[in-house]
Amino acid sequence: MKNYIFKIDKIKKTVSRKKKSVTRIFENINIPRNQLTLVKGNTGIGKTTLINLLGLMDEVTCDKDDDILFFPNSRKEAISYKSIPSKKIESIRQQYFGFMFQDDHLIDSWSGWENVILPELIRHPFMSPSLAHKTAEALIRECNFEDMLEDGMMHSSPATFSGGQRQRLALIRALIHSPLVLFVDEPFSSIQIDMAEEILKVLYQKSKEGMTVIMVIHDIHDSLFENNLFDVNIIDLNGIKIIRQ
Amino acid sequence: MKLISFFAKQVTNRDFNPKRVQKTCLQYLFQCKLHIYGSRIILFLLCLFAFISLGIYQGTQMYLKQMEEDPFSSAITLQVGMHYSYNKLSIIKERFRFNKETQDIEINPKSDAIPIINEILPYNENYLFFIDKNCKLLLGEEFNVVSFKLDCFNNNNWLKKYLSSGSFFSDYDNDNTSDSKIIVSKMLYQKMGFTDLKKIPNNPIFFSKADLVDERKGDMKSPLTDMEKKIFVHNLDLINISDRLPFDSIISEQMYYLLFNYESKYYKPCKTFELFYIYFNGQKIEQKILKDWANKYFGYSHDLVPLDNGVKIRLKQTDHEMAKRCNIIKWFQELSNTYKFLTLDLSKSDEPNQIPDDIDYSYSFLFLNSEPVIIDNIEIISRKLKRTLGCFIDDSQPITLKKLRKNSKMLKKLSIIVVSSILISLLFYIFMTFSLFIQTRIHMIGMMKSMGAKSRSIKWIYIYESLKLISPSIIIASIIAVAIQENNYLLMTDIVYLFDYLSWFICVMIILLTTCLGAWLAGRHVVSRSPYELLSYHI
Repeated sequence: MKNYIFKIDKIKKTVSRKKKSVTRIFENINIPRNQLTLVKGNTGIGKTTLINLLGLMDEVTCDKDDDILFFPNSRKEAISYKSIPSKKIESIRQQYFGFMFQDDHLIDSWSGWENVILPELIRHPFMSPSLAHKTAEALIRECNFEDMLEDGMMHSSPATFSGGQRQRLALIRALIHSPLVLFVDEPFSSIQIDMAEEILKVLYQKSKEGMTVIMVIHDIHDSLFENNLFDVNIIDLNGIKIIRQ
Repeated sequence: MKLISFFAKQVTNRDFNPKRVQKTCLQYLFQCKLHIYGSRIILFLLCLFAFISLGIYQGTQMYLKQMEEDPFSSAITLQVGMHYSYNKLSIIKERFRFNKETQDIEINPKSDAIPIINEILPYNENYLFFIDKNCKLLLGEEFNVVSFKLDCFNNNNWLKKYLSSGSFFSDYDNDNTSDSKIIVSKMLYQKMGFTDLKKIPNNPIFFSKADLVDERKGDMKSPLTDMEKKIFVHNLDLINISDRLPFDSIISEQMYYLLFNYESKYYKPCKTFELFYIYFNGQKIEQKILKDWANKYFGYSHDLVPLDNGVKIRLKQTDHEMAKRCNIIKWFQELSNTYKFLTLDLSKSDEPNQIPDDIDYSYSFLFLNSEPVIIDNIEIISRKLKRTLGCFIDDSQPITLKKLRKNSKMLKKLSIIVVSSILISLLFYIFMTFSLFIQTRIHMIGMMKSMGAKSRSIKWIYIYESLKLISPSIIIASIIAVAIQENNYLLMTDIVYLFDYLSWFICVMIILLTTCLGAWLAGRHVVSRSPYELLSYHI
């Protein structure tokens, strides 16, 4: 049981638009600890909805039998999403989770450095910015993104970066505070395949180091996994129950 | 709150000084800076208006308070037209009452009527004029001197206290009677060289300006001639106190009579005379010559009475210029130039006057009861007093007080409306500005929330930013508000302005609270939404 970091027996998510509503029911989904898990499925099936629910990014409404169990530590008891007080949600996000979005959501009015150290400063408000810089720089080097440290690139606005550079910067920002679980939502949608491979390597490496990575991915990027370089767990959502009213 | 310490500074610093991406400075200014400068200017104007409104309100309140405490602000002035005695005015003071029910003045009314006059202060106005120590220069300044009887307010501490605050009592001539006090300002007293209160000048010479003006026909700058010295100085020692006496000195009644009536001590050159004598000294002169001379200068308003060795001339109208001693001496010199044996004798009618028990005054202050019911009916009171006393009445001060009280109430309401409007405008402006601002930062807030930033902390960031936005405006507005007070910029207008630090502090606190409230309201709605909702938000 405790080899899983998330365990979903059943959870519903209803999205209402005007007079119509769509309810997706996720059942029997277990996400293993310290692995790269791919969430796959057709467009609109609910991949992003699932990781938003798991990452407490969206409101979780649970009926009697509904719940998500989160096991931050194999030795500790599970956190039941059904019974998390609303004030604690922010603490859980801060303490355990990291996010990398489909759109990078970088702040263009800030420098590259300021963007990447932000999560670290949120987690440790009294940390010296120079220390956060050093951590970020070490991470950049670890990920083999040294070209980002050249020409004072990190001191300029991300608005001057290319799409790949922005996504790499978003990756560093997601990793800097060493989250227990990293949620990655379609990171390769706007970048070239070689850059995608580069990022995938980093994510895989991190999963090997003990980070649980849950990544939403489209079928078009299946080629990245064809040569079996990456040992991944796949969750296919194509079979989930969808009720339209 | 921990998040505020560094993280808030980091965020706000970049919100106020965004990283430049724009190609030109002007583009950067318009896109990133103009809204900050513009907001600060608008907030500065709002703060300045609030401080000035408060200053005007405080100033008016202070002015009203000063007016209320000043008995002269509710005083009617009775002016020249008749002479008043203290006793007569005292009777009016006792009898005049205001009936609230009939809203009219009653003379000898029932006990429940309100007294109209609190105190009376009859006084005279005189001018002092000075000559230099060598009797050569007539000093060009005249000094307006108000004299009154100190007895009038000996038992009235409130008036005594008021006068004491603006003047200085000193014993005169070691005389312990109440009349022998001189009231001058402290500055004047020091200027006159006095350090010892008991010490007084030995023999100052005072004489009327009008006498010299008459004599010199307007030329007041050239040195005195021998004849003028003879007429006006009479070889008494003079002291130069020309630069020692300011305008509007107040002297006692006794001092007034010492200066103007006691010839034995202080010379009054152009006192009017009722009669004088011309002696022949054993010689003879035709009666017709004397008659023609008298007719020439005194008209027919005189009686010429022949005596054994001269004539007695009695003047019928003693208030004319011809009755003045300086003129009599001057005109007699024309006669004596031809008939050198003639001598003029003014002594028999020039005895020192005794101070009468009840002196006549040309002016008087009637200090009215400053209760609203009296001051509000000042027009009725003025009419009644005018009919009773038959003189010119200046009631401008009580009317001013009445208007000021009325305006003060109106101004208070107006100030509350203006300051409240400014605060509401401020609240709306901050709310609207931050609502719009936060809409542009909605992805950033969503992203920060996804990283675990607490909603409360994000709200504090925007409260901190609102304070950072308004602080320079408050500082500059405060400096200008103080500068208005220090440099009297409003002095040329009728506006009374007072920068009160306590009120300013309270106003600043309210402005800061309003600002925080505006920012909190703007941030509250956004930060309560889920990160996913914020990140997927599109305008």
